[in-house]
Order: sequence, then C-alpha cells, then structure tokens
Amino acid sequence: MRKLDRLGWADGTCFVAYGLRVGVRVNAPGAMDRLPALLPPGWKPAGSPEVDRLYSLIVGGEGSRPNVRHFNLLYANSARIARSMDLDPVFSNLESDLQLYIAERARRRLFVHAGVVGWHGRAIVIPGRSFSGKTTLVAALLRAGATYYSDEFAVFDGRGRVHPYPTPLSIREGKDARGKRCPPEALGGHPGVGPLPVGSVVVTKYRQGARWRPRQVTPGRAVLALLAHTVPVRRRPRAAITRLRKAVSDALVLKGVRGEAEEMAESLLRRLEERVIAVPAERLPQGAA
Amino acid sequence: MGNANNPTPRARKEGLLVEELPDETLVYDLKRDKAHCLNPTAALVWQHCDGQTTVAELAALLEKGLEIPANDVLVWMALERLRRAHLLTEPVRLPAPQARYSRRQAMRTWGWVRGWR
Repeated sequence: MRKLDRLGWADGTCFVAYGLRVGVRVNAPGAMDRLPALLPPGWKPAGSPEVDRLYSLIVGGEGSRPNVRHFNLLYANSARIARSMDLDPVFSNLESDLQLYIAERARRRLFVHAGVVGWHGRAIVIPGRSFSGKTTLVAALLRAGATYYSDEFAVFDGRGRVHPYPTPLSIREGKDARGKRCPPEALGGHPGVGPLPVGSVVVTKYRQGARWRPRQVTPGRAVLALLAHTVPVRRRPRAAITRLRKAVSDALVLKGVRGEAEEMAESLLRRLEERVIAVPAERLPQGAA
Repeated sequence: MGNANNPTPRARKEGLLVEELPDETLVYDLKRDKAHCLNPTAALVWQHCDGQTTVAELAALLEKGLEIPANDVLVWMALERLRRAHLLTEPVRLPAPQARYSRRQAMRTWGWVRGWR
C-alpha cells in the first residue's frame, strides 16, 4: 500500500454509500469523469478522507519510449483487481467490485442478487445470478407496466421490505458478457421511489419453448431460494434468515421454468393483480400502501 | 444410537441456526454454509432425536403431534433426509425392507390411509 501511496495522484474523491466510506484516486485527471456513472444509487460525497476501502486507478497509455504502452491497473486497497490495455474492462471491474463490496458489507441493508419490480404497491422479486435471464424478465415486466426497482440486487431492510436499487438495466445482446446500459424509461417503465413489501417471489429460469406453468411453493422454499443468492450469507447468516423470513411472510411464491419473457410477464402480473383484489390492502404490513 | 435394529438417533445441534416458520423449520448449517427447509414431519422427528427415543417411539410422536397415521417407514424416510442434510450426529442405517421401500410407495400408503385415493 505504501508503494501505491508514493505514486503521484492527480485526482480523487471520497463518498458514502449504504453506510460505507469508499475512496477512489486516479493518476490521470480525466479518468474521474467516468466515475459518477459507476457509483451505487444514493451515494453521497463524504466529508472525511478516511475510508473503509480505497480504489487506486493507474491509467497506463503511451510510455516514455516509442512503441511502449503501459497497462491500466486497478487496485482495491493493496490488491490488484484489474490489468488491461483497454480502459473499459478496468472501469467495469471497478464497478462490479464496488457493488459487491457494498453488497457484502452494508450493515443496515441485506443484498440479494435479484431482479425487482413493483406492481400495485408490492414487489416482485426474481432471485438469480448473472446470465440467468432476470434482466430480460425485468425488462418484459417494465414493458407490461411494472415499476422498476432493480435488475441487480433486491435490497432488504430490517422489516423485510425491498428498497429501490435503480441502476440502468444491463441488457446483453448475444453472448457478449458486457451489457448495454438501458434506462428503465427507455422500456416504458419508471423507477420506484419508496420501499415495498414483497408480494411475490418468482423462482424461474429460461428454457426454450417452455410454458410458464408455475407451482406455488412454501415460504420456506422461498427463503432457501433467496438465501442461495444472498451476498453476505456467510458473513451474516442469522440476519439474512430473519429478514428473508419476514420478507416472504405474505408473499406468493411461484416456481417453474419459463419460455419467452413477455408471455410470462403478462400472466404473472395478471395473477398478482387477482391476488391484490383478493387480499385487501389492510392485510398488508404497515407502510406497504 | 441403540442397536442396529432399534436405533435411537441423535440430532446434531451444534453449528446450526434454526428459524421456525408457520409450517416449516429452516436450518442453516454454519459449517457447510448450506440451508435446509424441513417439513413438519422431518422437523418433528429431528426435534425428538435425543439419542434415547427409538424409531417406533418417534412414529408414535408423529401420530400424536401431527395427527397423521404415521409408521416406521415415514420416520425412516425423515431420518434418511436428515442424514443426507448432515443433521444427525451419526448416520442411521435403514433396515433392509425399509431400504427397498420407495418414497412413492410410502406416499401411496399414506395417501390411501388419509383417503386421498
């Protein structure tokens, strides 16, 4: 770390997100311009330079001698986490490492890998890792009229409610690992504002030609599915189980393979709409309206 | 653990987090970082595996606690599930006839008893 500290740093910033203090420093002033787009929702500038985690970005580029180029390097504290001639993958690593760090260490929120939309004052949570098709399904739900909460994390509070984590959707085309950024408005949706109680947990994966004919499973099975995608489950298993149990207590839990996302989205929203009519609002937990 | 024909299984209690849900029991294994969801039958058997209660006694407890026509087969199935989830201190060996008794057969018997057929 001391070696890194001795390098000349041109610019830097500190911010707070989900109670964690993070710093970023760069050796090339222009590199900071790309940073705000990579930061987690709700970040605020920090007053103090003391941080829990410090990212150091060394922009390589042309060397002092002809035909020599230096790698772009990224360090998280003293560990090197990216090395590339191209700057894009380095920024991409910075964003994903920062997201995971916050998801793992946030004290007052529980982060679960999931897509989330709002529908009639309740959240639909779709747990799943990257490449599981959750973004495609979230996009289809937005086109069908749902409110956007997240395509990356379901962020639970102590009462089991889901908070928005509205980063732009990362829509992949073909086998390209890096997705195209797409704001929810481009899909006809708009970002949600307040926390929502969980109305439904949908455990699904895509299978070509499949029809969405889910079976209802128990809240315990829903907790298992969510736990499998909970980022800090090893660090805080008790808190995770307690929050998730609260979260699914009034939720409709559906499990099954799906075919095309549009077809499933409409069927799912229709089913939940019927349930909202069947279960009056006064039965919802406090703060759900 | 009793003898081979009349075992008295003992539940593992260390290194586990247990959370009760209305009709299920969630168990998180801190050693293996794996969660399990026990149905009422498995949960009741697990709760009473104290190293002194026999399979026949566990079946009687199931009948009383869940008001179902339980038998040894159902207990053996629950014990097998608990063994696979590493929730018993020592594995119990199914006696030969039970080992050949499939889940489907057990459900059929149980369903017939409950008038599901």
